[in-house]
Amino acid sequence: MISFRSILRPSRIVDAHCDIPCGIYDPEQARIEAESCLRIIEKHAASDDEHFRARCIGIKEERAELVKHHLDVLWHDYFKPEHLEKYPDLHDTFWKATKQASKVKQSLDAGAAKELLSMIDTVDEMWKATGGLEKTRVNGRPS
Amino acid sequence: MSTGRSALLFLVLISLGLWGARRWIDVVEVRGQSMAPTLLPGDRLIVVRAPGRVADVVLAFDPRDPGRELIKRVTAVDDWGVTLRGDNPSASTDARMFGELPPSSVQWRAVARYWPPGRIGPIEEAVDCPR
Repeated sequence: MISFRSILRPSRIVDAHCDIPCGIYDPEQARIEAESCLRIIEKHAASDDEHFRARCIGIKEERAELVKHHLDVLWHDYFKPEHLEKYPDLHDTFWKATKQASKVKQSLDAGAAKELLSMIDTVDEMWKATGGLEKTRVNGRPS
Repeated sequence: MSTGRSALLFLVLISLGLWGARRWIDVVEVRGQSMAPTLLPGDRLIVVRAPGRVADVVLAFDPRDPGRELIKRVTAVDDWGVTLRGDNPSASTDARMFGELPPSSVQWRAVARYWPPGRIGPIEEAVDCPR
């Protein structure tokens, strides 16, 4: 039998669709660049080849810039106002993490790069806790 | 005829009527932002089977993914097809990307919103209908 409620239940979903943004987000992208920074800092310290060391610095600065970019994308595109309610320190976390990325760009301190990694891990926890893994990766992130 | 049997017959007729009516009138739920602010995600609409005229909000199958039914506004109709645009152009994939659709692809027209209760009413004209 058809009830009043079933008459009001939509028969289907229609899409007020938009292809972009792609909706794929993952702090892993920032983490990979930050790991590059750490490894390059270590390689720089272990080398006494002047040219190699100069290249290390150039590459590290480039990678640190990418960390900032990937964090920014997560910050303004993935995270939504309702996430801020759950994590009131969300803005502060991103502000400090992007500042830390600047610090890694400027310095050759492995400790600073490790600190950056742990800050990205904090972002990763927030991303996972808000369903990012299920919602913003295709079939979830490969483990 | 007993009261029980006529009540049953009545119910069967009502059910058949509603089932038949679904071919001409239906209800759908909106997903996505491309029709904002006219339509918001979660809005529920009454749609009727009718061709799209300019300025109507209509349903059409996505030419790139026929499994998906789009809701957009008609901004032009000519002999070759129907041009569909979202009311929220910066967040809409529409005729700007996929071009005109054949007129036959538009079969349903949205006429009113019945949910949420605070926004019950006819579908508004676009504030700034993109042409």
